[in-house]
Amino acid sequence: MNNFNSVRFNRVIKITDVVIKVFKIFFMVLFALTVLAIAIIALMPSDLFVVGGEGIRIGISLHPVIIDSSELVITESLKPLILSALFLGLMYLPFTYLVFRLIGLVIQKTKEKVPFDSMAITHLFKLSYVFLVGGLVLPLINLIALAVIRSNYAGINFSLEYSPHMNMIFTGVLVYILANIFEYGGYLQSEVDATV
Amino acid sequence: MIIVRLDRVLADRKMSLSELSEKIDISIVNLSNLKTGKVKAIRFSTLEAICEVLSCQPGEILEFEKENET
Repeated sequence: MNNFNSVRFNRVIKITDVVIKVFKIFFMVLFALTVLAIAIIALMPSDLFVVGGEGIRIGISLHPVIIDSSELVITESLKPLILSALFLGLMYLPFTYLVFRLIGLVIQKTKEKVPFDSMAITHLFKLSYVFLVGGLVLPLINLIALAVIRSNYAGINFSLEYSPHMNMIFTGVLVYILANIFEYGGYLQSEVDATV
Repeated sequence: MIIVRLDRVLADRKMSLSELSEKIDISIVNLSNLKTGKVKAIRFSTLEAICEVLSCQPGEILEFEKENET
């Protein structure tokens, strides 16, 4: 018979549950602040964001583009750059929130002592689809932000090439495999439940 | 198919399902499901406990009946 470390299991579930709850609130607050910041900055004049003197050195690390801060000096208004960064945050936060929410729902079912419940399995499948779609769609959002940055700053020159988030797609495939294993676990659970 | 004859054996022994449930420590819901053939399987330990309390053989509780091939 397999050993089940209930102490470790309960500890892991409890910690994950707390972390997810905290992060969900954090993401919601961050999302609201980002929306507010975009609204305020969009209404402010561009001149306010111009750095005087020799400009400002900025590094950009946005998949798939990496520009070292030693290579880029911006003398124009920073407004488009800040708005692009906030726009990216606005697009990534709901995705991250969704991931945490789905993990939270799976944890909830585990806490209810029904980890192989059909709803938990559905949430796992959804989680895999979110990762797979995110890995393909989020780089497109990066490209939009990068296109805005490139068109606003003469000193920035890079090619816009679509490159999917392979690590995210890999995670999606991994979760998809796990969801299938859980589905089989659900079938085994139903067999056990129908045994007296 | 396998037919569960628990109700017949219980009637012979003049014992109720709840009484059996208490004696073998299995919920009445599970025993009721077993009696009405709603379960997929029965553990040897359950069968042993039932046979011990009802003083019977497994064959008296479980019966094989050939399904009609129509």
